[in-house]
Formats: sequence, structure tokens, C-alpha cells
Amino acid sequence: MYKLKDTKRSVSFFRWKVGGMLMVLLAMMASCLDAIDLETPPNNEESLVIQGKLVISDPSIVEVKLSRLFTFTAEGKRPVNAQSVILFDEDNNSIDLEDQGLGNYYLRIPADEPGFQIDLGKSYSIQVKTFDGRTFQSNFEKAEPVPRIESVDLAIVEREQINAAGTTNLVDYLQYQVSTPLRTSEAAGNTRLGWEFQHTFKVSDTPIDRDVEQKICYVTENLNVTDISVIDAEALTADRLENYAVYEAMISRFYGEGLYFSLVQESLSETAYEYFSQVAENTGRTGNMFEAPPGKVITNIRNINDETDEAFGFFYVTQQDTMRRYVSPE
Amino acid sequence: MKASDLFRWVAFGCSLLLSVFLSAQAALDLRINATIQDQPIDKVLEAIEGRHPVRFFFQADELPNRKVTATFADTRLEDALKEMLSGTPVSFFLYRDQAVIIAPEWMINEVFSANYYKALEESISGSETQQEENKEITIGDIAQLRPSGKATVTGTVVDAESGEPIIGATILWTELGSGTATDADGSFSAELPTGKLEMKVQYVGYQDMIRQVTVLSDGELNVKLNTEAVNLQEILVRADAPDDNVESAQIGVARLDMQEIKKLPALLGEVDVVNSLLLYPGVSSVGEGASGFNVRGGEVDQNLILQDDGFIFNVSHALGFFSTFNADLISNVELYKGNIPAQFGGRLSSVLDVEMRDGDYEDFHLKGSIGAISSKISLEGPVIKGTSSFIGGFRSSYTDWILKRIQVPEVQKSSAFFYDANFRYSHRLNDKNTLTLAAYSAQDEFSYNEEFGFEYGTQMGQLILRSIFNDNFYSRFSFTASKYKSSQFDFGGLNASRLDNELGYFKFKEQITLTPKEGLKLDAGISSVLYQVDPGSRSPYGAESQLVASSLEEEKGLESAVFANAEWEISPALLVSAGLRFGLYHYLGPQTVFEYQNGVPTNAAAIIDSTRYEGGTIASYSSLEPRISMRYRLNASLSVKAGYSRTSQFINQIFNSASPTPTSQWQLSTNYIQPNRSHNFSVGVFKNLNDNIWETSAEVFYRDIDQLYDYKDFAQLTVNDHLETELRNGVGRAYGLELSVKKKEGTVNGWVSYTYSRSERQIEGINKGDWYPSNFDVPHNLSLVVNIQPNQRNTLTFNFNYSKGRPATFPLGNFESLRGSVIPIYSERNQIRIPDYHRMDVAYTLGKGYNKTKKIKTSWTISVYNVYGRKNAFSVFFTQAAFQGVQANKLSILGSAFPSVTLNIELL
Repeated sequence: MYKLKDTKRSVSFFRWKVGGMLMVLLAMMASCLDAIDLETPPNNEESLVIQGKLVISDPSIVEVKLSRLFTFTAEGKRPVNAQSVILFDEDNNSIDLEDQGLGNYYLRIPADEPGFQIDLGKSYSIQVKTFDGRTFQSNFEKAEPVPRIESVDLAIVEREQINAAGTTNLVDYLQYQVSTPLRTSEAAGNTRLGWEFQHTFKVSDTPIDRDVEQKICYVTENLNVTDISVIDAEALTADRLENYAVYEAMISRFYGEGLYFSLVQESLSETAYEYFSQVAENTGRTGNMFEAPPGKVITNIRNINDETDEAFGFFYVTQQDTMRRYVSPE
Repeated sequence: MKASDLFRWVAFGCSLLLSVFLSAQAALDLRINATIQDQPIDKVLEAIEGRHPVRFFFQADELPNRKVTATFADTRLEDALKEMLSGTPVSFFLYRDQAVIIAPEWMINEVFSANYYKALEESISGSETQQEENKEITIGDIAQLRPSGKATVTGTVVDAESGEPIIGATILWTELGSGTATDADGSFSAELPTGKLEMKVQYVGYQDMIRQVTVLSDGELNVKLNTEAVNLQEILVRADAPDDNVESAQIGVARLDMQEIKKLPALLGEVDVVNSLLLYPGVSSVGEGASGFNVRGGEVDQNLILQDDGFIFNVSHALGFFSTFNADLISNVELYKGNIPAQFGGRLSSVLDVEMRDGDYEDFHLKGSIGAISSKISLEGPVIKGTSSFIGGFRSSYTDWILKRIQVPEVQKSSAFFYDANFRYSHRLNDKNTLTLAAYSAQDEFSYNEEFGFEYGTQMGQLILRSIFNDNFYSRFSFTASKYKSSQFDFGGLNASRLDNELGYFKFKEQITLTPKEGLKLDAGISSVLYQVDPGSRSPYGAESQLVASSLEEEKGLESAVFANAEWEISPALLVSAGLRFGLYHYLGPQTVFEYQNGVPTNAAAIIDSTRYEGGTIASYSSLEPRISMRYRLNASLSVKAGYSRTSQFINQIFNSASPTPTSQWQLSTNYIQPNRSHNFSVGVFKNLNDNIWETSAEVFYRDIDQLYDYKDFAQLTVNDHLETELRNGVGRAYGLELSVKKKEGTVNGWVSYTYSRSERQIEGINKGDWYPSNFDVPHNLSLVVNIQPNQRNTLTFNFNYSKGRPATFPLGNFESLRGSVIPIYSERNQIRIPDYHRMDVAYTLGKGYNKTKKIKTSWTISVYNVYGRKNAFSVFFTQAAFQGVQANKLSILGSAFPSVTLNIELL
């Protein structure tokens, strides 16, 4: 699978390639990876995490998720409920989000919503008031238009894998390729982009029998959730991507009855791109000797009354374009 | 002549055997004319000895009890002996052209102990030595006898065979109870009372020379030392006097014994100066395979690495697993850990001074070795016998064959290659001047699966002129030109790129040495380095790449210094070495310099303007650096030493990873990037025991760094024209204790050292401005090296190393993203440590045979690195599989034992 990163960063180079380098080192030096247990220091588990996203569409959708930090060995999600979660525009108009429970806040905003207009080129912010009287506010994030996807194409590629016996096999992978302009108009510059992937497949849980009606359901899954795929198109000379490989998946049972693959392309502001790049830096660590150290990811959220009350997370505004592609079993 | 009690047989008779040596040799080719009637063999041999230049060694009770009757007319001695000994269980072989050993045949096929040959040699040379000892030397002319009754005697001590100067040889005047040592050119000077004196010249690995000297007036005395009969230099050659540990003024100096290093277990059998350093107190690294080394809590780029007078900026092969120094070509290695002498500057932590050796001025030698991943060959010899010599060495890897056999396609399509080459030509222009021209080249290429790669290499040329102006005035002038180039490739895709950077410099240095009187040595000099740095350019690579090319303008800096140092033996107990170095640095144009809001380069958004400098000085810094160290000798075997030095550094390597990459750029000090500066203090107690066989020491050190920087989180360090915005300024400190016990000789020898060392920094904007440990803060480090050496030929070496895990940054906590993945949060830097490190290695060395007349000599080293396969953590990091929690992982670079066999071949 391909992970697209900021080409300006040297660390990206290593993170892309470190797997390869480690394989050479492994071959030459018998390097190895082992899971270990670690004693971790006490942390600030009470710190609040605020994540929010405004997708400009009709209707526009804003979602905010509140939680607390948990230790790396913990399973819990630690949701937090707030007194209020409010979306602001740059004219200080506001609209409350609805509490969906378990720290999730959500609102659909129609294009004709009275008193609160969602437009590209404008900036928006969220404010969270907690029950213990703290108020957190995000910076204003500008809505950037997203270039429209022209096509999503498929190609079967062979990838080498080592089986349990230690021999190498060629395995078929399905490669998804996107063709898209990188700018929304001739006058505009290239746009920073992020991608998300989903597939929807049909599941029949009863055998085929003429006398029995099959129970069929459709399952939609997010793909590649542990990786973050972003690209800084500003660092490229080209103004479009042509059959650019964005995702690869081994051909598996999911394709047995055909499936729909959805590619979601979204625009990112400069700070949103920086945030996701830094998250990707931290999540994609491999521990190699040339890897830059992890760092504290930027946030655009702060306690407006207490600068020492550290919050984590990010709020961003985006426009999305989605293209679905049917993948037949053939 | 009988030689009873000479024979001591050893248990190691399992390998190469000394066979009867019957090829055409001088003594055995002697022509004998004799008529013998019914004489015992010992009498016959004695008679031959009396008439011919040959000597026989045997035990009388082992000779056949027969009488000889024979006529020899112009018969070769070999044939005569064969005839006399035919049909007996006794045979013979030649030793050193002049001696014939007669012994039972079974005994001849055994490996003789070193003691045997040593004793034999003493016996052979005994009468000659006696004669030489009785030979009196007269220096000067009675007509020039000074009224003061004193005279200055100067001279040199050289190897009798090669003519190579012997550094550190001691010249002792028995009646005076004092002495002096030769300097780097093998020269010495002493002020003596006129009259008769006994002179004793000593150097380990050479025969002592004792002479009765009559000093009449000022004069010259040139001494040629012969090597010991047995190859003591294989294990004992040291560039220091036996009591140097106690005697010298310098504190915190490690002198590496190259022969000792060659016997240390090495990864894949590659003898490595840099990795061997890690066994010395105060020296550590961030992990296996990491590039460079850390000295007393300093960064890897804070070490000045010299090959002769040239700086080496990257000494790593294979990204850091091996070093670029070819051990076969090295004369001397010294590491100054604490007090850096005034003639060195430009780095905060240490100086690794690697002196290469001249080729043999008299004879040709060809050496080679074959190892698991590389082979090397060296050739040396005279160009004009006695006047000029050359030495060249080449080492090349062949790792590809390993990679091709790995059942991983990506690895099979990878390659790793390195080479290094040295050539050195030395010419004695006359008695006073020696000119040396040296060239050095090292190159690495590394690629993975046709996807990415590195190329990096160093080229360097040097000219060195050593001059003796008069008996107490020497000079060393050097000019160096060097270039280090590195490239990083990403071969495919939209972002395919090539990153290049380069560092070149021109340097000259002139150093003079004066010895105006006994006990006083003055050094002074001047040096200047012009740096030319290409900080980086990134360009699209391949047809598909859509990358926007970017590059930075070349930077220039001029670093100059004048220095002076005096080493003065104020009294027999007190020796002081005090110096001063004044450095002046200029950051030169042309260059564009950004201006920042409030003058502080916080981030790119703070840039408000820029200024273009077409030339001249943009910024300049000076540094006044006192250096002092002193030794107070409490008695002959106990001394205390203390030292202080101020150091500055005007060029740093930019990297925020655990180990620098080959393409980590070197950054000159600019108007925003200040030079790093530190105060270095050391105090130590040094004690020798048992006639200097045991050396012990305890040193404490403290380094106060009043200017350094660290990197902000997610710093963008490549091809960044506002690099200063990625740095955060602060201060640092390093302190610790080093304990060392070393046994230099004996069947069991070696050393054990323990280091407690802390390295901390305080940087604004990092860890809330609190002190935090640096990446290379390793508090506890224990090294143990044991050599078991039943004779000079067989050595079994163990070494064990333990160190506390280095600091790392761990997640403070996690949260779940909008898409369901777990995102780690990192905040405080370096607050937890990775697991502790320990490793044991073992090596067995079967050295060269004792038969010095043998033209081809071989030796073997069999080693196992990481004997018990410890999976030491290089790093700890966290991963998350889909729908699972976060898991801590450790990466072990060398997770198993590494056996290797190396064959060394020497053609004399």
C-alpha cells in the first residue's frame, strides 16, 4: 500500500523506506522486532481530546468527538460529555451541535439554514464548554475547495510475499488508481489532499437453496484506518495525478461476490495537512536509527481561560468528493 | 655450544607447524672442508662453529651417541649435517640465517613457545650485545667543552630495519636518574653534564640498547633499535612509555594499541578502530550500527576525527556498522577525551587522532586479509631505498553475495558496497626534511530493491613536511584538501527525488616544537580552514517524478586559530602543560540572510525581510580557549592529574535522529546559529602496580556547555533555507566518573572499566524548559576485556559490555481518532529508557608463525560477536494493528550471534 507524505521532510523518506532498509539490515545483521512490555510513566490522563470536522456539502455535516487520553495499554475510549459544543463562523454566528452520546456531537446543516451559512472560502471554529466550567476554542479553519475525482481505475499487480515455509510467492493485489486534477481552477494553486477508503460488500449467510430466501446484508468498512494518506500537492510540479496508485489490497474473499470501493478525496488546509502529517509521523514509527524522534503534534484547540490546561486534537474544515467503483468478481 | 633449559614446549601444537626449513639459506649453504675421524657429534659441531659463521643449539643428551668419521670437501653444511645425523631420530632446522637448531624430529614438528625463541635470540645476540654494550660512544669534541660542564645532545631513535622514526622511545641516563622520550618524529633532546654516562634506550618490542657514552660537548646521537627476536610487536607495541599512565601530564587520553585492537572480537571479523573505542571508559554509542561515537556525554559531531592532519567527517561504512579506517595502515591512535591540547580545536568533546604510518624504507611487504564481507590488501616498500617509501592499502566489500542468497526478493534486488583506499609516499629530502604526500578515498553505495539508496564518500589529499631546523627546533607543516559528498535517492514514483549535499575544505597548519632546555617543551602554531558547504539540493529523479526542485546556496566559513602550549617539568613531581588557543571564525558571503520579527527566528512566518550579502563577512565569532593540565607525582607509581579546557565548535551536523544519516548536512555557524561552546574539567588519580604491568585510574569530569541547540518537534532539516527556525537554543552539561584497571602483560591480560556518565540539556520550548537527558545519556557502562595468551602466537579474547538503556520518548497517552484508529500523544522528550544493553564476544587469534625467515606468513582470527545472541534494543516504538490496541516493540539490529573467520596473509 502507498502512503503519501510530505516530500519536503527527510523523515518521510525514511518512514517510506524504513521497512526496506530494515529488511536489508535484517538480512545482513539478523535484526529483529519483538513485542515488549514497558513500564510507562504517569501521564495526564485527564487531558481533554477534541476532534472535529466540518464537511462542506449540502447538507454540510459537522461532527465533534470528545474524549480523554488513555494509556497505551488501555482498551477504553474514555468518552467525555460536554455542556455544549458550538460551531462558529467568522462573523461570530453560532449553531449548537446535537449530543449523540458517548462524547459524539453531530449536526447536519442544510445550505439554506437560517442564520448560519456554510460557504467555501469562509472560516469556522468550534467551542466546547465542559461541565466543570472549562471552555475550549479552536482556531478558525478555512474551507478549501476540493478538486473533483475524474476516475478510479483498477489494476491487478503482483506482490511478493513470504509464506510460513519461508518461500516467496507471488500474490495478486488489486491496485486502486486515481486520476484527478490537483487544482480547482486555472488560477488556483495545487490543493493539499487527503484520502479515505471504504468498501461495501455483500454477505450471504445462508447457502444457495431455491426454496429458501437468502439472507443478504451489505457491510461497509473503512479501510486502512491505521494509516493516514495525505499529499502536499504544492510540492509537485504537475497540476494533476494520472492513474496514481493510492491503495492496494490483496484479493480476498471480500471480492467473491463483488464489492463497491469508495474513494473519498478531501481538501486540507495548510495547518490541517501539517496536523495529519505529524500524526502520521507518530503513528508510522519503526524505530530505525535514522528516524526522527516523535513529537508533540500541533493542535488548534486551547482553553481560552487557562493556557496551562493542555488539550489535544484538531478541528478542520474540508470539502469532499467521493467516487465509487464497482469491483466485479471477474 | 649447549643450550640447556632453552626448550619449553607448548600445548598448542594443533595448527601451523614449523617444518624443517631446508631451502637455500645462508648458514646451511656454507661450504665445509674437514676430515673427521671418530669424533662425537658435539665436538664436530663445535669445530664447525669455530671456523664458520654459524651457531648450533642443542641439548647434549639428545644428540645421538655416535661418533662421526667423514670427509667434507666443499660440502654444503646442510648436506654435512644430513650425513652426520642420518639414521638418527634427530633433525635440524635453520633459525634467523645464522643458527641451526638440532633437536629430535618429533620436537621440531611442534610449535615452539615464544619464550623459547626469545631466549634463543638473547643467546644468539648475547655476545654481540655484550660487545656492543662495551662499545663506548663519544659525543662532541673536547675542544668545544663548555665551562658550564653541560652539553646538549640531540638525535633520533629509529627502527634499525625500516629506518622509521620510533615515537615515544625512552632515553634514560642511569647516573642522572632522568630521561627523555622521542617525539612524533623520533627526535629527542637532552641537556647533560659532560663526562661518562650510561645511556639506556628502550621501546617495547625492541631490544634495549645500553651504551657507555662520553659527552664532551653539544652533539648528535642517532640510535637504531633492533626489534625483539620474537614478534613482541604483535601484542605489545605501544606509543607510550611503560609508566605513561602515571607520568604524562595529559588527563583523559586513551592510546589505542593497534595490535590489541586486531585481536578484539569484531563484527563479521572487521577490525574496527571506532567500534573498539567503545570498550574504553567514557566512550559509548547510541546502539549497534549507529554512526560515530559519543565521548563523555558529547554528540557524535562533537568529535574531531583526524587522519594525520585532515578532518574526516564520516568514518562510517555500511551506514555505521564499520569504520573507514584500515587498521593495517595505522601507526598510532589517540583519543583525547577530556583535555584537548591547544594544537587541536573546533570540537567540544574529543579528538580522535589517527596517525598513518610511512611505508618501509628498506624492504617490500605485501599484506592481505580475507573476511566474511570484505577483503583488503596493502603493499609497502622503498621507492629509493633508505630515502623514500610508499604504502598503499585497499579494502573492498562483497556483501552482494550475501544479499543474493537471502530468500527475500526485495533484499536480492538490493546492494551494499563500500571501499576505502589509502596511498602514502614519504621522501626524506635530506637529513632535516621529510615530505609526505597522502591520498585517501572512501565510498559507500547502498540501495534497496531498486527503490531507494545512498551514495557517500570522502576524498582527501594531504601534503606534510616535517623539518628539523636545529637540534631543538622542529616543524610540521601540512596542507589538506578534502571533499565529502553524499546523495540519497528515492528511485520511483511521483515523489522520486535525489538529495545531494557536499562539504569541502582546504586546511593548512604549521606547528613548531622547541625544546629550549631539558624539561621544557614548547609548541606553537597556526592553522586555518576554509569550509565550503553545499547544504543540500533536492531534484526530481526519474521520468515520473513531479517533485519541485529546490536547492540551497553554498555556504562558506573560515576558521583560523593560533595556539601555543608549554609543557614544563617544574620539578620531578610537578609537570604542567599549559596552552592557549585563539580561534577566529568568519561566516562568509555570498548569501541571503533572513530577518525575523523581533530578531528571533521562531518560524517561517516570522520572516519579515532578507538581506543579500554578495561577499565578505556576514558574521564572525572569536574564542579564547585556555587549556591546562597538570600532573603531580606523589611517588614513582602514583600521580594525580587535573585539567581544564575551553572549546568551541563552528560547524555541526544537523540531525535529530538517534544516529546521523550519510546525508545529514553539516551546518556552519551563521548569524543565527551560534557556535557551541563548553568548559571542560577533569581530575584523576593514576596508580601503576607491579612494575607498571597494572595500570589503574579514576577520573571525574564535568562539561558545562554554555551554548548548544536541539530541534523542535517535527523539525524540517533538509533543504530548508530557514534552518534556524527549526533549532532551539539552550545549555547543556555532562558529568561522570571513569574507573579503569588494566593489566598490560602476562598470560592473562586485559582491562575492565566502568563509566558513570550523564548528559543533559536545558532548551527553551522543550520539556517545559526543564533539564532533560540527551539521546546519548548512558549513565552506566561497564566494559571487560580479557586476553588469554599462553604464548605470543595464540590469543583467546573475551569482551563483555553492559550499558544502561539510552533515553527515548514514549507516548504520554493515546486517543481514538474520528476514524477509529488510536493516535499516540508524545510530549516530554527522553523520559523513559529503552532496555539495558549487554553483549559478550569471543575471538581466537592464531598469530603468525615464529619462523622469521618464512616469506609467507598467515594468521587467523575466529570470532563470535554477541555470543549468547542477546537481542539488544536499538529503539522502542509503538505500533497498532487495525482494530487492536497499541503495542510496544523493540528493534534489535543484531539479534543473534555472528561467527566469522578472517585469514590474514603477509608476504615479507
